[in-house]
Parts: sequence; C-alpha cells; structure tokens
Amino acid sequence: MTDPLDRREERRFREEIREFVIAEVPETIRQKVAQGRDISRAETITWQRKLVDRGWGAVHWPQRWGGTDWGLHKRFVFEEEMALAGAPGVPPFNTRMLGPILLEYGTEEQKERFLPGALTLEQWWCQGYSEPSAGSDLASLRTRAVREGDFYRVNGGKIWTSYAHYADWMFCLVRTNSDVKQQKGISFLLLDMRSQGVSVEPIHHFYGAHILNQVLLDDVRVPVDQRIGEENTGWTTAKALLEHERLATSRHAEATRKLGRLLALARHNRDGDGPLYRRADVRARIAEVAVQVKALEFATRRGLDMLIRDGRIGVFASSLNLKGVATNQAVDEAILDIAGADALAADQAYDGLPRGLLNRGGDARYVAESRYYLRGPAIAAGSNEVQRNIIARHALDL
Amino acid sequence: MQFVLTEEQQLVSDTVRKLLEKEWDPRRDQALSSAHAVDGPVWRQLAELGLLGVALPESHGGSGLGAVALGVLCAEFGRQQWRAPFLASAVLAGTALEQAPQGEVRDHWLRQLAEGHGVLTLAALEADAGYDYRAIALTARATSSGWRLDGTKHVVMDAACADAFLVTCRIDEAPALVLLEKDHAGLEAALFTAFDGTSLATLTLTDVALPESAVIARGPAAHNALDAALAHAALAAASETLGACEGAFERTLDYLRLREQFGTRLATFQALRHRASDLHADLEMLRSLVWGAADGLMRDPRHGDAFAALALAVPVGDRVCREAIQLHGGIGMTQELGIGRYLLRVNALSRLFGDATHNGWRYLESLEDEHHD
Ligand SMILES: Cc1cc2nc3c(=O)[nH]c(=O)nc-3n(C[C@H](O)[C@H](O)[C@H](O)COP(=O)(O)OP(=O)(O)OC[C@H]3O[C@@H](n4cnc5c(N)ncnc54)[C@H](O)[C@@H]3O)c2cc1C
Repeated sequence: MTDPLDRREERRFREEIREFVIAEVPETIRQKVAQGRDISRAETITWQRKLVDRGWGAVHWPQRWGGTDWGLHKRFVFEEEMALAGAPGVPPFNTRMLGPILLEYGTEEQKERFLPGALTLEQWWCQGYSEPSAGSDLASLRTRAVREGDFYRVNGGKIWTSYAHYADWMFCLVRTNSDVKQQKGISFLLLDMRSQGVSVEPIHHFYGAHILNQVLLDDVRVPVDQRIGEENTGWTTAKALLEHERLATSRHAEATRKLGRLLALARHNRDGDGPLYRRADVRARIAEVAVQVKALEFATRRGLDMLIRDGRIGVFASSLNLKGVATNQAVDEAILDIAGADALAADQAYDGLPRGLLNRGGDARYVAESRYYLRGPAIAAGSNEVQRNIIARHALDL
Repeated sequence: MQFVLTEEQQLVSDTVRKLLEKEWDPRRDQALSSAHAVDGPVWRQLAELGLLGVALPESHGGSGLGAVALGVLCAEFGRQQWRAPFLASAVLAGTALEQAPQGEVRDHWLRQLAEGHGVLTLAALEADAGYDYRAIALTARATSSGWRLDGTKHVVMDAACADAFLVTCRIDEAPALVLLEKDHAGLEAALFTAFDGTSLATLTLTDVALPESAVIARGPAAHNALDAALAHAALAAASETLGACEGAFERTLDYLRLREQFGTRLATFQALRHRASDLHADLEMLRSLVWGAADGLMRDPRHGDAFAALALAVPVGDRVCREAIQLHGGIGMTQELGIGRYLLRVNALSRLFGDATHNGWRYLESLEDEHHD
C-alpha cells in the first residue's frame, strides 16, 4: 500500500479523474447521472469497460486481477472524485460484493473462472439473499439446496433481487441444513441464471421504475464446485463485507453533487418576485441541507481516518449509514420542493420539450424519480431500524 | 485533516477535565453568574497553564495551540457546565485583538488577556440587528476635540468583570474596532443575568471621547478581525454544545441502564434504545463537523465551516438536551439532578451567537465566497 497522497498529488489525481470523466462519459449519460436516473445495462457495461481499460475497473482488487496497488486514501479520493465528477455508478454486486468474497473465500479455479467476467461485466451478477419471509431476519431464509452427487438441487425463491432481469449469474444464500442453529445451516452458491428452473418476475417501484425482481427457483441444479467455501459456512461469507465498503454507504459525494443541483435550481427558478434563492426561507432550507452535507463529508473522512489508523470502522459505519441515507433524502426532498411544478414532469416525452417549459428555470426533470428511489437505501442492506439496533447494542452498550 | 487528538491536545483535555472535577461544582455554585469565575481557582489555574490564550500566539503570551485545542477546551467546559467569561474574553476579544494590526494598545491588552491579568469583552451587537454582529450603525461624531461616540450596545457578555471593552463602530463610514477601558468617561453598563447564568449587560455610550490610540483597527482590518472573532466564537459555542451534549447523553445512558420499571431496565425498551441511537448518530455528525471546522480555522481564521458547525450544534444540542430530561422522567426536571442545566446552556449559546438559520445563512455565504475566488 502506498502512503497517503500529499496535497499536490491529490489535486493532480483529482484533475486526472475529472478529465477522464469528461472525455469518456457521453453528454446523454452525464445528464442522466445529474438527474439521478438509472443508466441502461448496455450503457453500464460500456462505461465499466472504459474503466477496465484505464486500469480503474476495480481499484480495490489486487493488481493481479485487474485492480491497483493503491492505498486506502487514494482509493477514497478516486471514488469521491468519480462521484463528484458525475461518473455513472456501477451496481456494486460484481466488483464490490462478489469480487472481494471470491478473493477471500474462493478457490484458485473459482477466481480464474469468475473474476475476469465480474470485472468486465461479461457476467452481470445479482445478489440473491432476501426472501419473502426472510428480510431483516435474513438467517431465517428457507430456499433449500439438497445435495445430489456433484449437484445441489435448489428449490425456493428470492425477492427484491436488484437487476436480476439484467443478470447472467446470481450469488445466493441457500439452506443446506435445517437441524442446526439457523446461521450454521446456510451455504453460499453461484447460480447461472440461464439454468433450467430459474424464472424472473419484475417488481415495480411505486413510482414505476423497474429495478427489483422476484426470482423463482424450481428444481435448479447447481454444480457443487460453484459453492464458495465449505458447506454451511455461507453466513460468515456473506457477512464479511469489507470494512472499506462500509464507508461507501454514506454516499457523501453524491449528496455534495446533488447540493450543487439544489443551488442551481434555486438560482434559476423564479417566483413572482425573482429567483427563489433570494427568499430567506429558501436559503434557510438550503442552508439546513448544506450543513448536513458538510457534516456527512467530514464524518466520512473521519471514517476513512479510522480505517487507515485501526483497519476498521466498526459501529461508526451504522451512524454513517443512517445519516448518509437521511442526508441524501433531505437533499432530494429539498430539490423536489425547490423544483416546484417542474417536478411534475416525470414522463420521457418531457425530455424532448424545450427546457423551462413550465418555468424559466433550471433543469428539474426526474427530480421526483430520484427522490423516491432514495427511499430504498433506508430499507435495503440493514434498514434504519436495524442500524439503530446495532448502535444501541454495540456503541451504547444498552 | 485530523480526527484524533495529538498528545498535546489530549493533555489539554485531561488537564482541564481534572481541574474542573476538582475545583468546580455546578450545583454548589448554581447562583453565581459567569463573571464570578474570574475570582475562582479554575480561572487562575487556566491562566497559569497558558490556556486563557490557548489559541493565541506564543509571542503574545498565548499557547499557540490553535483552534482544535480551543474546541477541546470548550467541549470540556460544556461537559462540566463551567460558566466563565472565556467566550467573551479569550475567544471573542482575544481573536479580534490577535487579528487586528499590531500596535501598543493592542499588544498590551492581548498579553494582559492571555496571561490572565485582564478580562476583555466585545461590545458589538446593536438593537434591531438580529444576530448580525457585523451590522454596525453606531457612528463616531466629529467634534473640534476629536471623535465622539453616543449609542448603545446589547448583549455584552461579562461586562461585570471586564477591564476593557472592544467596541465596534463606524469612523468616517468605515467599520472600526476601538478599545475603551472600563472607567472611560461616558460608559455605563446595565447588568443582568441570562437564564444560563451568563452575565450580560447593555452598554450605553454617552459622549465618549475617542482618542486615536483607542482605535485598534479600521476598515477592512476591523472587518476581518470581527469576522475571525465570530468564526472562532461559532466554533467555541459549537464545541461547548458538543461537550454539553456528551455530558447529558452519557448521564442519560447510565440512567437507562440502571432504572427499572415494569420489572425490567429501561434500556431494554426498543423505543428508548432507538431514540438513544438516533441521538448518538446526531452526535457523531456534530463531532465530525466540529473537528473538521476546527481544522478549517487552523488554516484560515475566518473559515466558514465554523458557522456550519454552530448551525448543526443548535438543533442537535437542543434535541439531545431535551431528550436527556425526558428520558430521566420526573427527576430530569429537578435542579437537584441538574441535567436540565445543559439545555439552558445550549439554548443560551444559540441566543448569543445565532440560531440555526442565522448560522446556516452565514455558512451559505461562505460557500458563495469560495465560488467567487
Ligand atoms: C431498493 C431495494 C433493493 C434491494 N436489493 C436487494 C438485492 O439486490 N438482493 C437482496 O437479497 N435483497 C435486496 N433488497 C432487500 C432488502 O435487503 C430487504 O428489504 C431488507 O433486508 C428488509 O427486509 P424486508 O423487506 O423483508 O422488511 P422487514 O424485515 O419485514 O421489515 C419491515 C419493517 O420492520 C422493521 N424491522 C424489522 N426487524 C426489526 C427489528 N428487529 N427491530 C425494529 N424494527 C425492525 C424494518 O426496519 C422495516 O421497517 C432490496 C431492498 C430494496 C428496498
């Protein structure tokens, strides 16, 4: 690992990233990112390949597998500047979730077989953990895998599976033993989505987006060599989310970028008396949000500092998660309010209409979609309530 | 950026914590206003330790430890509910003097203040100006015998024990900072005590003569000195609020762990656990922002992040200290327990240096300045 960057190196590195984003991200996509919209499967893959070509496809992986030898600080700056520059996000399942698990628990053959495709998105992965009756209480999952020679026969189903409709593969948790403590009877399998018996049903978000799915598994055969780790050790594998991943849940750079959008909208949009930004109540609202964003930024840096010093963030990650989600939601809610009637324009057709049709103001398209999307992270991967349980027990000793 | 204390800063924190634990009992001294502290052992020992000038340069009798140590110190005051003219003298007047151009009067008082031989305060706020310390209407009048001042300054902290006042005014339109000793002819302080025990005054100036030597800074220099003083005061107030919250919160957690109702400890009720967790997360954000803002002031004495810190400290402080009372039940209301004094203090700090909206606006202003640079 290299030492932290000094100020000049950091500045130069940030410029390099910004130039890359300007050169490599087409205007249409940059606009989607600015508007908080999802990019398509093909667009995501094209972008990831550009990153891979640049050597930036999975900066936290070892160099041998296409990663870098960067230290924690440089990786942090990289991810922060990418988000600030408006680079599209790539779903975390390939390089951030599966990759580290393979690197830590996979056999050499499994690494050879799956890491290259995970890097380039040749194989798009999804995460099959949650089930209809196993959400926050994930360990109660019931999808059964029964060993039959060199195969497991898998029956059951997964739900809330993000991007399963894009996915070639799914890493999933299955029950391989029902007679022991719940956590001790779970295995971690890699499942080919084209296997016989797999079907994917869309689940639409309340505002229309299609990200989530239900995955039904009916007598699906999964070769035993697609199990990660020993049988019944899947819980440990799934829980071993890398510490530095936990920093990312604060989404601080995303919040900072959106704060810029909020300011721009408030300066452009007008009411009868002039730009909204002139109004004291509007400035108070924006200031409230800006202060939260600043606190989140420093808190995230503090998390990085803990990571560099102690190698772990510990329970501080739960505060980052809670506040990261809440702050991002607060920015989105303010944007929606400042956008006013413009925020009603949700329809694709609005893209083709002249800017400022309702208002002479700034670009308020899709602000609603972005705002409603952000309700999700408060529920997924450890809901707000679950984070509060963790803080009470581990930080406060209550 | 620094998120752990250096050895030196840790030493400041430990020393002051022990000093206050030994020499100060907020319950015993309930009735004493902040101005009385200058006669007490804590003030004297802080002076001996060089901590009245914690962030002032060593060349002027200070310790030169900077804004982070200042924050650490104020957090300890907040935690232990110490009332003293520290904000008025060491922070507001001290920073303003330090940032003002060198001069005999300025140098003399800076040293007096840092070494604990003199107490100063800032008289800046005027009527009908809200919390805007920079709105200066008080204007010097030209007479045949020089400049004269007539007017009133409000919310002057610790005038009761001040040896001199730093007064903001206008001379020839330009803002100015002038230093007037307490027995200067024409000064009159009407004293009262705020709900948290801060000694306050309304200062009336009647035909006050203004010799050239009294003018400490003028024009942009005065403006800059005042801005730096306010930024440091914002950081100090935010730090003190953080410390008060930590004190209130820790005592509340102890109570939740011990107190039993319905046959079980209060800490087993999820509704209460979640409320405590939310307060914890709020405090983690405030702590991060206060440290980040202190770091900013080390680089730029007028850094706007200090106002963000206070803008967050105000609502978080109010919430944490209110909840501390609520989660204690009836005993939380008592003077005997004293948990409510934290709420008095954090609320008073936001009446002194501006509420969340005021400080939020100032923070936004600083962001705009950044963009124009
Ligand atoms: C946008 C989105 C994307 C997702 N993507 C994926 C994915 O790709 N793969 C995947 O496997 N899963 C995914 N999930 C599922 C997610 O992990 C679950 O929704 C989450 O674990 C919560 O489970 P649940 O929905 O069953 O809610 P429940 O667990 O039933 O919770 C319902 C409510 O009760 C609260 N609650 C639950 N337990 C407690 C408790 N002990 N104390 C207090 N309150 C409690 C919860 O906080 C929540 O408010 C996604 C979810 C969302 C919203």
